[in-house]
Amino acid sequence: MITQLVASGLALGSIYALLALSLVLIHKATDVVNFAQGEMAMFGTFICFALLTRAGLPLPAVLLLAAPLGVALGVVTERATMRPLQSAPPVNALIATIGLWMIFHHAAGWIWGYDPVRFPSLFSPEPVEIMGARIAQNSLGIIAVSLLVVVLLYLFFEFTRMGVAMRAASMNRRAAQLMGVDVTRTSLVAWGLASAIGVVSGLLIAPLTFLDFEMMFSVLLKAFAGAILGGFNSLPGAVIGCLVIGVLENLIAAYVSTAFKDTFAFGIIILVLMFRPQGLFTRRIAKKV
Amino acid sequence: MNGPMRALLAVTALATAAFLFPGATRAADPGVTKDKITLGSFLPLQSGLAAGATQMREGADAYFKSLNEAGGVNGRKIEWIVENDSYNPQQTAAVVKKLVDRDGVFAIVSTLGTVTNLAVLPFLAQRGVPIVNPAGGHLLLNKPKDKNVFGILPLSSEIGESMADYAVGKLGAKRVAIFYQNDQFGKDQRDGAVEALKKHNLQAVGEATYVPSDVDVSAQVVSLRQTDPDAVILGIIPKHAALFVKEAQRLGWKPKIIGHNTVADPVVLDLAGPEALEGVYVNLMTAVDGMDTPAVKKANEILAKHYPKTKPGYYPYLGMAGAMIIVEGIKRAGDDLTRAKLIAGLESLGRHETGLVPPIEWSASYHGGPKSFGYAQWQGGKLKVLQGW
Repeated sequence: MITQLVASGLALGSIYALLALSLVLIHKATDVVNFAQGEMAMFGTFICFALLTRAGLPLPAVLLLAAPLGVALGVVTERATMRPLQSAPPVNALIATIGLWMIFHHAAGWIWGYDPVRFPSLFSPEPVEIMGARIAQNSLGIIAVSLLVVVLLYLFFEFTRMGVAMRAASMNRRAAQLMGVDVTRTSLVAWGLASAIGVVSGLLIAPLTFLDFEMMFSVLLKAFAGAILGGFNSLPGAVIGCLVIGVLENLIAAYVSTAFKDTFAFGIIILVLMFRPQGLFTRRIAKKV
Repeated sequence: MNGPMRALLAVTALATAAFLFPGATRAADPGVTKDKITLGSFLPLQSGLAAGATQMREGADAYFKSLNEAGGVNGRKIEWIVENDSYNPQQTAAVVKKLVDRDGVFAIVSTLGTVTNLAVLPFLAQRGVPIVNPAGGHLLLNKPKDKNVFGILPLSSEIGESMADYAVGKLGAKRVAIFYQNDQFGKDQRDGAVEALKKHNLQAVGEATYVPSDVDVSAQVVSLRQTDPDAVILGIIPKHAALFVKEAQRLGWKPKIIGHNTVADPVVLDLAGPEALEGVYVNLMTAVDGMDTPAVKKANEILAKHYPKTKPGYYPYLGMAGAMIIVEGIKRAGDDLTRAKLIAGLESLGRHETGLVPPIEWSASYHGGPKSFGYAQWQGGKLKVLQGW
């Protein structure tokens, strides 16, 4: 039983991890925590679903369109809501993202209805057996994509001008600006990228959880918990944190009680914030003034 | 006696007369004219329950429309005003006040939501407004005590009892596990099932819960499988029923599964696919699409005509059943329609078959839901009725 629980937990954690990556990306680049990330991913996935069912495009074509579509969604949202708040205190932007959360949430229900729908999977439904545990091929795909995204983003942040500029802009916006970094551009790129990752994750997650306007609610909260556990500025840390959350959640549900499964994740957030606010996998950094 | 004083006296006398002999001064109660009866409803059209609420409205509305096309009831057409309450009891209170005081509805029919219905029962009782088919799970809705309330759904605990009886009695299960939603809806079913198992000298071998926001039930499935049940009872909503059977399929686990009526929803088939659902039993407290009876065929026809996009199922049938029953009550109340006569008409129904829900058996002393259930099984992507009501 325990191998199956751990395997299902890793599969579940990988779902959280995909979303956590886009949370961390925006935070790393703009110092804003985007509470609307999950709903934007859900909204984009619904657009893909409409392309599939109403426009009748084949699944691979929709998958190719997902990333540009995500970029467009992120860029438009950033221009419309974040740009005007650029010089306001960061808490304003944070509250605006909570507003966006509600807007995307209800808009999706209003446009596409409130029933869950089945989303076709790229992978065969036959589960794979690994060490006696059965895992959906879709889940293995999610794990592979998360790792790929981590590597690509790592390369991006370390070795491209834009990546370095983003890190600089989030550490000290004004100094970065004085050094010639175009901070409006870094913010735009970060939102576009994060939203693209979000929509692609939506396409991978929806076959497992079904597509509906509530699909990202608990995923977002667990992704937060995982990202905080791993360190909100570390991409690999966030992935590991989310996998840990997924596995622990399953073990608690099976051995303690299913009723504590969710509370537990938030218990972790609080404990980590109290005792190791920088997360388990990042070094403590003094706040630069 | 001067002018104003005389006028005052006259008004007082009239008011007293109106109070003492309501039938004598008023031709009818609010909401009834020579050619029209105005009814009302409140539904959570914008909420997590919105999909069901919309279908419920469409089912009832399709029936009223086809009734009006055929000339109405006793020469009067039905106008049905539906308000959204967003599944928020405070909003329900506001919209019901509007329906009763401003729109002057004659009665209320086919509403949805336990807390929202409960929130307005005292007001409706005080005003004497009849309410038929308040859909929810509570003693006051399913076994009403108020003279003006008529419920057509059973208690959730009775559904749980029935499912456990079916698992043990019909399917011969000795080891029964329960998977349920962690709220009143699920817990009542669980409690009913546990009670019924006790009568068979059994107890549940395993129990697990989920909350509606869960997107994964793998841990629950694994831990229930560990208890090795022959049968699993699901007190559940469609999405999580689909998640459950898909996870069981992934693990290659095949217990007998007996689900609440919601598992008969076509949404479950769409989400889980026919293979994962194969062999799952469902409790029936409304008709299902595949039932080959004249009443169901007629209902499907009416729905297809007015709402061609809506699939027949639990919510449309439930909404329509409420509409059919109140119309039958209105018919029996006769041409001189009053609320008191409608209530008398509904109480005179006795054992009454709509064909869309199990027969109701209303009388002056019982306004509650049915006591019998049907069962069906998913076979090759279709529901096959195994046991009628």
